[in-house]
Amino acid sequence: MEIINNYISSFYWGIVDLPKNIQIALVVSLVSFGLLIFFYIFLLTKRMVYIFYRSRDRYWNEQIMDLLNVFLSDVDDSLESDPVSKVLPEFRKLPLHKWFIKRMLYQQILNYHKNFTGHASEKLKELFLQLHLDEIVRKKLKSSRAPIKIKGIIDTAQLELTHFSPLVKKLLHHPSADIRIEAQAAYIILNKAHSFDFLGDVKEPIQDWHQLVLMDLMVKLNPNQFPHFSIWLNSENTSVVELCLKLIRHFQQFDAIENIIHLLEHPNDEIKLQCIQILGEFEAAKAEEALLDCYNRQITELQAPILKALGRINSGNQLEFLLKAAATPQFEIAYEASAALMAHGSKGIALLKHYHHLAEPMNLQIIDQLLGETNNKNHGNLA
Amino acid sequence: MESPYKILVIEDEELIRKVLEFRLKKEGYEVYLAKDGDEALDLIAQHRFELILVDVMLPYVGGLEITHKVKSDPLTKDTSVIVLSANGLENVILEAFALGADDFIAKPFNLPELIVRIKKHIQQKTA
Repeated sequence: MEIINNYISSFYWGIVDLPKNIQIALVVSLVSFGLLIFFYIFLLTKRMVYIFYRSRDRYWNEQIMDLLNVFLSDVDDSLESDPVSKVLPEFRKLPLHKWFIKRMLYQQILNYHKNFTGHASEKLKELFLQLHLDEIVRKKLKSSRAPIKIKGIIDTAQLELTHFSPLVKKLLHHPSADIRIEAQAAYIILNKAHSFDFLGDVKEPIQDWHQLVLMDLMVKLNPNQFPHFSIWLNSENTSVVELCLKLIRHFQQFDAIENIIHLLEHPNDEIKLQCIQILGEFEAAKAEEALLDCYNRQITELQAPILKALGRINSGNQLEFLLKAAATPQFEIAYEASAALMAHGSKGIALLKHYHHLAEPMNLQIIDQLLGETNNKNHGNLA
Repeated sequence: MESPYKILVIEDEELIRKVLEFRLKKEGYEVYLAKDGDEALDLIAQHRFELILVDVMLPYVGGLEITHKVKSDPLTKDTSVIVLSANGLENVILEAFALGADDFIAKPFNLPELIVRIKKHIQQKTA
């Protein structure tokens, strides 16, 4: 002991006697060395903790997957009996009081549910509920953090947890657009009978990408359960009107024609354009008069689609009007009107041929082009 | 006793690999697993499989390329190939069949239905 004390004191006095700059250099070196050692120990500990958690998670994941595989196999084998009650005691043997095990089981059931359809998927949902894992979903839905809330909404929709519908409903008008879109998509899935009710209360604009997400979701659902989207065509929210028009168009709700005709007076040109296109696509003969009435009040970008729509409606009652439009000096108008006449078949073509020798050079070129295309098509068909 | 029928499951998703392995072993098949295209091609070169279950989206070598390789090789062309895909688009289905796939299953799928189809293809092959 004395030897050590002597050594330390000689070392200390040795340092004290040294010049200041060497003393500072020594202290810095010692501190750096200490920090380096500390850093290595820190990294090593972190690595070991990571390895520990990874092997622990892997072990429990294997256990959970084995149980779920046996469960799925039982589901297939016993379509009539109750496989959930049979396996429930096995699942309850898992230390579910530990949060990470509960979280793993939650995630694995969701993963299985996502990958399989039919009876297996129904039974997985039953198992999820029997294990009270829906409480995790409730916590997520009530979380103040947006990403967790969104995950909760997605999980609710995936498992169709209808008892959380009131919670999802509260999020339909959330200030965050991301939460709103997920909530609206989930609400459609959860409330099959009244899934679109929220459209009546939407105050915020439904962005284009948001509309696409909703459309993508709706095309996967049973259209027989859909309401008449024309109910919301009078909404003050332009984006709701736009979405409803898209839905009417996609699901071909012909009984909306009357409401669409009224929208031809809408102040928004985008909406008017959609209406004109739908009326043309639906070949709505009763819309002809309204289209003609509003024609002169519209900008060229809307007049041309009106002519196109008249061509698609193809009633034969507006040939004179179309011929007049075909003679205008505006290329777009003249082209669409001539094309609309061509769409009327022999009567329209005869009128165009009759007008041919009176036409101005540009109009003549359009007519020749269109007649040439028809002749080529006919030749092609004959060949 | 070794099962007479060997099935290769090529799927990058561990969960589906495990479920199919468990289920097919229970049916008495000898099951081989590959998590990517490269691993699958190595196994195909080493063994003769009665049926291959392949996902379209795979790392390194895609499922459709594997289908093409299996069906264009005289040694393996008689192996039944069932293509699995989360992308049920018409062009993917048509391409799979054009490359020689014997069946197509869209994900998510019905497990009992898949097992029945596998049994049917193996029965047809061995009849």
